[in-house]
Amino acid sequence: MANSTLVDTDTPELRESRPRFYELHRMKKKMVKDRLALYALIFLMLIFLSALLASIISPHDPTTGDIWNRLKPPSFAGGYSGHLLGTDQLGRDILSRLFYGGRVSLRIGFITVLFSSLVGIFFGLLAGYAGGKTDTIIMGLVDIQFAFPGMLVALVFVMVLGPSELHLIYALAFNGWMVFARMARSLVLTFRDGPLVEAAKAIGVKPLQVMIRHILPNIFAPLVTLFVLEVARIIGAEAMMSFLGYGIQPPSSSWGLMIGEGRAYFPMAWWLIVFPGIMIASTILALNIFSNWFTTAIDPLQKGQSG
Amino acid sequence: MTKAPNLREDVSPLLSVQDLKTYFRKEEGGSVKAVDGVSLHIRKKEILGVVGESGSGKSITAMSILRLFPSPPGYIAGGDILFENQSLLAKTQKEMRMIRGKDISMVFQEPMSSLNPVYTVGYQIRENIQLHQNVTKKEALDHAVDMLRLVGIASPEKRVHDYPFQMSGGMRQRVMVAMALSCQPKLLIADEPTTALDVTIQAQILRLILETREKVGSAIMLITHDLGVVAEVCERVVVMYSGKVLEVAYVNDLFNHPAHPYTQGLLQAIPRLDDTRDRLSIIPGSIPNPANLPEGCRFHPRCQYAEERCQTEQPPLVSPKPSQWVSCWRVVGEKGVDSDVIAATAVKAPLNV
Amino acid sequence: MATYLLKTLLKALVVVLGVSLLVFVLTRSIGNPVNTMLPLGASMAERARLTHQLGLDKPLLAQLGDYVVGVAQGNFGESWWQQESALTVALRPLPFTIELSGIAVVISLVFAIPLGILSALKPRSLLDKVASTSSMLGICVPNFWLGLILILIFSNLLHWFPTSGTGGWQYWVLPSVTLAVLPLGRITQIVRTAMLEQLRELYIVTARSKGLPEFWVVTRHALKNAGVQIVTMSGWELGRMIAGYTIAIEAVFGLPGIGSLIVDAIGQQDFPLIQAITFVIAICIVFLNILIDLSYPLFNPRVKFK
Repeated sequence: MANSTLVDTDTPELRESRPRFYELHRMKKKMVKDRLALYALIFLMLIFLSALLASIISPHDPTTGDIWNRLKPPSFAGGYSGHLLGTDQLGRDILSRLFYGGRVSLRIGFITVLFSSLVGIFFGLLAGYAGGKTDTIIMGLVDIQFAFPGMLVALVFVMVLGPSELHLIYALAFNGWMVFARMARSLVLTFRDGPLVEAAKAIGVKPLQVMIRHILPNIFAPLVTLFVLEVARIIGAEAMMSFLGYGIQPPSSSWGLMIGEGRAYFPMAWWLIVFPGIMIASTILALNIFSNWFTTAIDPLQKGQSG
Repeated sequence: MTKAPNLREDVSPLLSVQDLKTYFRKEEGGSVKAVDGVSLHIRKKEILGVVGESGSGKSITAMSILRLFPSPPGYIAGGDILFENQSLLAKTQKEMRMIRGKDISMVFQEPMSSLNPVYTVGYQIRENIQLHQNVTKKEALDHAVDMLRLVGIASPEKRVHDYPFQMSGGMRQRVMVAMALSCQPKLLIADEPTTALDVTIQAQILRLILETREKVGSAIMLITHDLGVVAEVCERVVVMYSGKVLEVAYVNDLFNHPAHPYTQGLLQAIPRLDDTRDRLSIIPGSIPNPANLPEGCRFHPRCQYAEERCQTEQPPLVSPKPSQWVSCWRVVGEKGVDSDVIAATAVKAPLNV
Repeated sequence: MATYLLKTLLKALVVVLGVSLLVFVLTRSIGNPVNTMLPLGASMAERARLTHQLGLDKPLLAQLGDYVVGVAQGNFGESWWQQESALTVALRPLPFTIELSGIAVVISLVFAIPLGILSALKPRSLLDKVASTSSMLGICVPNFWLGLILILIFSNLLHWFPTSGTGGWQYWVLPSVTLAVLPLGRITQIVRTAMLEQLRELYIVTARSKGLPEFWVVTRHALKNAGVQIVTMSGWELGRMIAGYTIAIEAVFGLPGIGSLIVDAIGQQDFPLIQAITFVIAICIVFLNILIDLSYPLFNPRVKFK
């Protein structure tokens, strides 16, 4: 009697026995296939490196300018070869200011979201896990704050506290925690009453341990995606505030501030505005592309698909 | 190759599926052969059961008749479907739309999600009516109320303004039937209409479907995996497996003298009250992966009678006796039936089941 | 239905109170605005007089009390900068901003909905890829920068439209298009996602099996179910426009809207005016949210019966 059995090569048991970094390895392979995401990641790494090494790679000092060289166009559009992207109204090199500005923008973006994510995730986990009144109160607060006019409140914050980088971070973080709270809570709710946690509780694992050891790893990935998206958003928000004059103050530079300062000389000295804007747009774009890719890559439902 | 069963002119079937092949293109190339050479026919006012496990291709066959499968990636790779002697596959989408809901209707498996949640049931029924008949909105609504009454819903004038979420699963399925029958279709295709309902409601819906034939005069193609349903309601049965037809017979013949080993296995697996066995009998193995089909007879890996020929050649559909067709080398061998002889037999009157 | 309405209104009330309170606390927690208002050499007596005049010498709770009472009467005090009722000053440029935002939302909807639907109907096609890319770009480009670039191209180089200011319809084109870009991107994405989701549902197969033309299946059946999500997102974007994006756009194009006003008010550290503007904007957004919530029953009858 013929008896053929098809062997399933992707059962949970077999998956467990594979090396730990199989997931990363698989994701790496997937990324090479999705070129766009790869380029985005490379771009982000370049931005990050240039921000980190700004002091080394900048051809000029970003704060001191040579007045005699002010408002020179980029070297490929008729300017001097020493200033690849031209100079601003005080003779400062645009390219160097872009590097340093990137440092500031990335720093603010990252720290702000770090704050808001930690606070938000904490409250979200709490609300989701504790339930009941705690949940209602926290989520009520989230709902209310969601309806706040965020940019407005941030501006008032900065006006009141004074425009420094730290205050800017407070102002932007203030309106950023809610998304994390909501997501963390909904993720917890998905797992809290599921069989995974039931099983853990049944063998006597303590509630806090349950939260950390069993729930947290599963909710890690979507939160990372959200983190990346929020960094993109904060970079944009900081740019707007600096543009309006309520963000980073001179003589430091951020990309938004460069646009704001360059406005007076627009449209003649177009390079003052075009390049910083391109930097902002491409950084935000790269972050969005990466986070989109990440969402689909980590989704276990997509396992085994090649496209 | 398998030819469609040949019948006398005066009893030409309402619907005749002839060697239908519906494939689905895979992203990486190649196709999944969901329906691979299926032939069956339904006569006017007949209740035909189509039985098979999940993945046998029975739903896709039904969807192919009305050309409702997602395309791309699905496509008709061969064969034909004749309805009232006209080829459905040759019709344009526009022509098909005139047939859908009017000459041929469908009822689906999940009453919970088959109805649009944001429209009243009355609206959804009258939409069908207004689409195919030249009536006013009021007339259509009245007709919808009549249909609800027909399917046994109490206070139909009130319920016609209800939304689906205000109704139970059984009631929603009745609404689906009402909607499908609203334009007196000649053929009603019911794809697992009772699978998602509990047993008591199941019986009601089945009875409703039987009454349909009386009141409206539709032929019914009842797709199910439940042999019990088949025994209760159907006149003839088609047994499908892995995209192919294995056996066609009248219900009594099928249950008393199953010809194909698969059918035999299915019937043996039904537990009986007077059973003294400790274990249920099963058919060993599982249905083949449609992306990786076995050579030869699709069933041979699980068949206790499998021989060499079964592993290499696909058996044709032959008729060992009138109104019964089997696709099995064993039958061909035993009966000595030539693969090209498909008896032009007189069709017997349907048995009273 | 009545409880639904009540709950919505209650939530709205809490939001307005919360925002106003927050602004009040923020503005009061600064050092002393009197210092910025008076010339450097002012005497202590003058400072004391101004402080008393502005009511800043009362204990914080008393100030809060005054504030709340005032708000209930619609009285925000007098703008320090404009010597007029703060509320009046705040309300004056509001219609302009609402008009501008409204036009921008309409523009984005007109393009986003068809684009989103078409993308959903043919996923992974060229159209879909183009639509996805442009919506992504629309979301990522900072709008104030886009405004400047558009001015560069269409005003300075091509001379099609004026650079800034108000006037005939030409003055509205560039600002509203700039404002519309980001919502267009977002709404296209949400329409696409929502439609893809709906088109997968079983009721769509049922609708087709009735012989319904594909156009009706998509619009009457799928789109209506996606309606709630689309309206929510559109309303959300409109709200964010009024409360945020217009600030930068009005600055770029020199427009006399409430966004420009708030930038000036902050520059002048005019507390009453800032409070009044914040309140006005909060009310606008709350009102908008109420409208959105009220529209849900049109799309999803389940809501009526909750």
